Amino acid sequence: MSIPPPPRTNPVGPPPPPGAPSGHPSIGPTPAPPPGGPGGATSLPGASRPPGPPPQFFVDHKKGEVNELRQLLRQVQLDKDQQKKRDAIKKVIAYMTLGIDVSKLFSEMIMATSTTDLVQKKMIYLYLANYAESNSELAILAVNTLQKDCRDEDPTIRGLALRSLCSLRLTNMVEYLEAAIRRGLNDHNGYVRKTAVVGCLKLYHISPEVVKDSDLLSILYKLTADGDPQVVTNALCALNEMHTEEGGMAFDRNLMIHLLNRIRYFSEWGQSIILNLLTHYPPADDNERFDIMNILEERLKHASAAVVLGVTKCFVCLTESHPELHYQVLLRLKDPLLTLVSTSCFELSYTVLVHILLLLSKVDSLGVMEHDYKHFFCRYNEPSYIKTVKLDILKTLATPANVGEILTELSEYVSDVDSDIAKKTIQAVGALALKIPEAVDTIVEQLLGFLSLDIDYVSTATVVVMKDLLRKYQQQFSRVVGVMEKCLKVVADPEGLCAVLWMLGEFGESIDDSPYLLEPLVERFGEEESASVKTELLTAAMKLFFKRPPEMQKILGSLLSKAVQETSSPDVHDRALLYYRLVSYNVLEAQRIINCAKQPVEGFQENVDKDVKEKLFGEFNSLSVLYGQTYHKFVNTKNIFAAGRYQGSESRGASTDALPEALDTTQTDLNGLPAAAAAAADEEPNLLGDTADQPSTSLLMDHTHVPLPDGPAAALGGVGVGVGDGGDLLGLGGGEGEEQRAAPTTVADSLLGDIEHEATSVPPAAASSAGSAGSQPHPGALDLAFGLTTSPPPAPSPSTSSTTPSIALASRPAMDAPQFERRWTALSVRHTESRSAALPTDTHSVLAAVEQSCEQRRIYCMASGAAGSQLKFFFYAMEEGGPGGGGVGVYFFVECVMEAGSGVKVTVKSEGGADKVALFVAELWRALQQFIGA
Amino acid sequence: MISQFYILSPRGDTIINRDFRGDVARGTAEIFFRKVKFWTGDAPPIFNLDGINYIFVKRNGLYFVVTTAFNVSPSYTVEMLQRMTKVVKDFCGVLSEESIRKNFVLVYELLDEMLDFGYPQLTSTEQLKGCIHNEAIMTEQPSHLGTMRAAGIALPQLQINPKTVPSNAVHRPVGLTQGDPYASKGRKNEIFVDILERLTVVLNASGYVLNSCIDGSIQMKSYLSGSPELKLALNEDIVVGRQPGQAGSGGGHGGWYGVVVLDDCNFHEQVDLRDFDDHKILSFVPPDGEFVVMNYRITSDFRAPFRIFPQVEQITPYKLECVIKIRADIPEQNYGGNMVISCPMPKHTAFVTNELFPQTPMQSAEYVASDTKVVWNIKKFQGGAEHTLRCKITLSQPCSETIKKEIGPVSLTFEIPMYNVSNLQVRYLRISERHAAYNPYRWVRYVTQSSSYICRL
Repeated sequence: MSIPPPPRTNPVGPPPPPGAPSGHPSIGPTPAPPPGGPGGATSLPGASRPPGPPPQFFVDHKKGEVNELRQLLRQVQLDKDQQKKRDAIKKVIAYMTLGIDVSKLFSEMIMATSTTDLVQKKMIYLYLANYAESNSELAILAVNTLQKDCRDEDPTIRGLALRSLCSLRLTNMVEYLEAAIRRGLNDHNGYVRKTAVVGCLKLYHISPEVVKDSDLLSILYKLTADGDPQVVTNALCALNEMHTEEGGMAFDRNLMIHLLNRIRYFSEWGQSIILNLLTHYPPADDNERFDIMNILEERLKHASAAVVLGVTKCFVCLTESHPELHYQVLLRLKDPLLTLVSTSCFELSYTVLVHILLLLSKVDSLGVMEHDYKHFFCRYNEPSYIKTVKLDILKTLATPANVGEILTELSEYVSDVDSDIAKKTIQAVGALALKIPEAVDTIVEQLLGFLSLDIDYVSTATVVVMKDLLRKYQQQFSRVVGVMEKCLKVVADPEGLCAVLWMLGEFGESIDDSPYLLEPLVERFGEEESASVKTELLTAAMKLFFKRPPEMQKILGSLLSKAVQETSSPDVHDRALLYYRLVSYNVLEAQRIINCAKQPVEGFQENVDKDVKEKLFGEFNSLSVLYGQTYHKFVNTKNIFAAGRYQGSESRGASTDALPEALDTTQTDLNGLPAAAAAAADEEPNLLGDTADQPSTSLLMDHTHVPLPDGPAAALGGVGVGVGDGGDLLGLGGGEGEEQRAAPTTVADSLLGDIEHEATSVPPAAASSAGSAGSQPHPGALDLAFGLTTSPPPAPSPSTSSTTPSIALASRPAMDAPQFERRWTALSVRHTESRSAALPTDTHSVLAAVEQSCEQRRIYCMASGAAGSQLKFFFYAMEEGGPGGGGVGVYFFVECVMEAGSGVKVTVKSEGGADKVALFVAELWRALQQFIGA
Repeated sequence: MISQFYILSPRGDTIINRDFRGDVARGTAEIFFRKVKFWTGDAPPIFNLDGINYIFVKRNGLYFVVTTAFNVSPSYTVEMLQRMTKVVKDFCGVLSEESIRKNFVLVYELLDEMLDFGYPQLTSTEQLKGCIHNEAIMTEQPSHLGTMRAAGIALPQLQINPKTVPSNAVHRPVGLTQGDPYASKGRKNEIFVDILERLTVVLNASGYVLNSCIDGSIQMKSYLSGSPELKLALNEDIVVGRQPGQAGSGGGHGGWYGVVVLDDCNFHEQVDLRDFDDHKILSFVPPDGEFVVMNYRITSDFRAPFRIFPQVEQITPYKLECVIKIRADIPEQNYGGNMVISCPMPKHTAFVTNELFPQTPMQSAEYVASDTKVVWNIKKFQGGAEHTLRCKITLSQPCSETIKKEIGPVSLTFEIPMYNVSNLQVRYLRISERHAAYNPYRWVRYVTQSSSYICRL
């Protein structure tokens, strides 16, 4: 990044050497080195040096530059011309902005404080506020001038001096501060008073005890009745921030009435603050409720989005328990909100739209805007973030009555230049089909139209949506059967391919040439890179085998042997093995398991979100709504102030509650999961391998596929779901995977054991009914099984990884920081996983303990650090020996983030095969065992 | 409670940088810029990265960014940023990298007064005028029209008319200035009023309006001396609030009869609305600098100022002909200025030849191969006139229905000076000041702009 030269308006003195600033980072002022450090010591005698020595080295440029400024400051100090002084100081500020460290000029700048020129004073104070922390000794010298200015006749100077004094953030000045603030709080001028109030807050951050143990708090409470609205606003802000731990300042009826009656005299910021406080006030009875709402209604005419959304929040809170009233209130809010959307700048419009989306998420609120759907049609010049929200709103607003028009409009966006918007549009169309059964016919027609556009990303997205749609409306397949062959050709990425494969497997009996569509894919199996496509292909071929045995027998045989022998992905390998064993064990049973009757999927995971939405209502008009997450997911809960004053009424409890609450949420998520998984498994056995089942099952995927400790257990998990056993899944969420790994069973044994167990537990009636249906494929299956066993025995052949489920890591492999950094950026992420954790608060002891524990397992730490409550580590490890014995083994690189409240998150990168990564991840978790899930 | 504030240039250089609370790590400006630069699509104005919330607005290519660790109100913070851009513009005259660089000390002074410990303090231009001591340094007026249009308050001047002032008259700083040409002649006592309407119109191929709305605002910029009270009277037949199911109003037909039905409107906080319901009079003491008196929204039918009639025909398997005819449905004394019409072409287009009717130097058309679209410029589109573009498209592949569908939609951007479609009008702007000698200049201007004006094929 090039740094432009500092603005020079009236050049005084020699200009800085060109190019010199580019040697410094332009990221704001950096703290000065301690006095006596290399920089300070050498440059102090600079005054005696002849001005402007010929610069020889790059470093000298910097010194020369700052020294020149020092000379300049000293020269102009004696000058009578104020303009020259101004220009010299201005230069210092310009350098400061560019990120050049000018802290060495501190003493010169302090000398200049005695000026009477306000422009200079302001600049000097700005400088002091920036560098005082790193020059606390010298800063004391400035206190005198500041204190004197605090008693100046001119209120502007009094306020300025007080503001600057409090901004120095120096602990050794508390006594000066308190006196100055007290005087300021009693000042007859509002400007000084409001500055003093904020000064109180600054003092609180320097030394909370001083404020708490004195009467400053009660003075602040008195100032909430001050005549100057700005003083009141600041007092409210300060009190609220100081009382964050208790969930905000005390707010009683008298104060509420006082503020409400005067709300119109406040600036829009003050009004917003008052409105937010109001949401913490529970009205005594209905009369009071209506009184408050009547007073606030007038505020809806305000052009400020902050005020209107503030009122909206109040209204929502006040009518929470009155559904009827809530609806009427929304009707009243509708027009002001829509006006804000269309007349504000994009940024505000976006904010309001996201809030509208939340308001509409309550089912009974939909009627409010049902007829206003046209407002949410996209404009071609809108930025994509607005279009995205509008699509979501249209999705929410659609009813059987308006869905026709919405669909027509949506179909126009598919050709949007922004491919992302096109994709989201198609997803929205799919969502409408699931939501409104009446529209399915039209929608299928439309989707077929999208396919004919011949745009690769459109086709892919369309196919994925089509697949989701067919899971609910199986009868619709007859209409898309004709395009299957085309689909296979047009899809561009693994996700789309998985979707087509799923349809081929599921509806193969109605597609004439389905086996021959699969055949080329089977032939190119080795070239396919995506494991999910391979898994999907296996499942599709398997399902089709039961439907078209004579045609599929050979294809499936060759596919299974390829999958077992050639693949490096444990998922694919184990899945193939499972199918193979299943078929050889009992074909009828296999058919019953793999091709069981499915119930149409009624809806996708949208319902899961309800809880979060409910919570978000409590945090209305805060960033939570924009992120769609409750505040403790993104606000640092350790920092007591971080809970903020913009919390909802629901989260008014002191922020110390936040942590357990966060854990609670995770708990319910986890508990909810197995049930959902089990239910899904009942309906849809091949769900597991079906990574294309997004977004509905992505939640499921995360928990079943990824976080398993190692390969064999992963396969077990697969079987568990595959046979519809939700109990296994539950166990895997906890520590059972660990046990299974420890037990010295081979994969094969446990696999078969598991299947046997399942098979024997099947009621005889079910088995016989399956038998009658599947009598035809029986001989074929036996042939196939025979054919496979005569070829190289597949069971023991797979890589050693599955029989010895651990990885040997090298001791102290060679690695240095630059190399680590280079390879970390070059490699792609292979594995990410999060687990909940209960971390002790003492971060330093944890840092050391984690490093030590990992090192014992030969996973070495490259770097670690703590930021707030977050711990971050970079680890590396190398597989022992490598392929040629003495060669260089595969390296693994890990980023590990630990945070109280959110858990442990690891990201693994490596160039090794998937099986090795899986083993390594298992090893890593073992190393981290004592810190997780405790 | 904002933690840091900075202004970044379009290239990511930090022009202004102020840390208010010291509770967010330094160096976030670079992280921010990298994130926004490499966002797929448009980066949303609010996002969270490693626990730090970034909130920004982009104006004239400049990024105004704040960071905070708190769960703040997004609307409050964005309004804050918006206000900061407005104040900087009021004091520096124009909002540009150059003007901010030249006036950086002034901007720091403004920031210091506007925010204390991250809480907004004095934020209105006239409050600030009292405690700002730096003088603004004027920058050269940008001759580039794009930046002026972005400001929303300037228009190109096609004729020199003694009754008009140059549009850059509003690019004067409100505070003290160095080298201000106006300062030498004494401060001019004047006020500018703009009735600005932005149109969203979707037409289908046969010219039928599928969806339309007007987003209007009354904007002012005051350079009045003293603080006199103003009375702004609008036409009395304005109705606010449309009942659902009510038919479109009879009004809004280019300035004749009927009522103006506003769906909804909102007002600047200082506007006194006591006389609005009965007499449609807004009373207020104009704050210094630029401000919006009123915003309104109209969804009832109005006469679309430009009608578009596109037509696509296949001549041979490799040749398509696309004819776009546009008619200006506005009075003859008005005109659409700086009209740009663009129409995407099929991706298999080899080349396009364009024919224009009538052939005047006022218009030109070209095929931009990099965007596969035809761009047609008309400098001045007189009311009642009709212009036609005939694109002869040669394809590199035989034509199919799919290829034909790739043409369109036709989008228009334009400005119509001294015309508004809604029929909302300023009856008078009265300044209640005792002296007869106090008679400032009052400039009233109507502008209609396109917001999203498209015709689907």
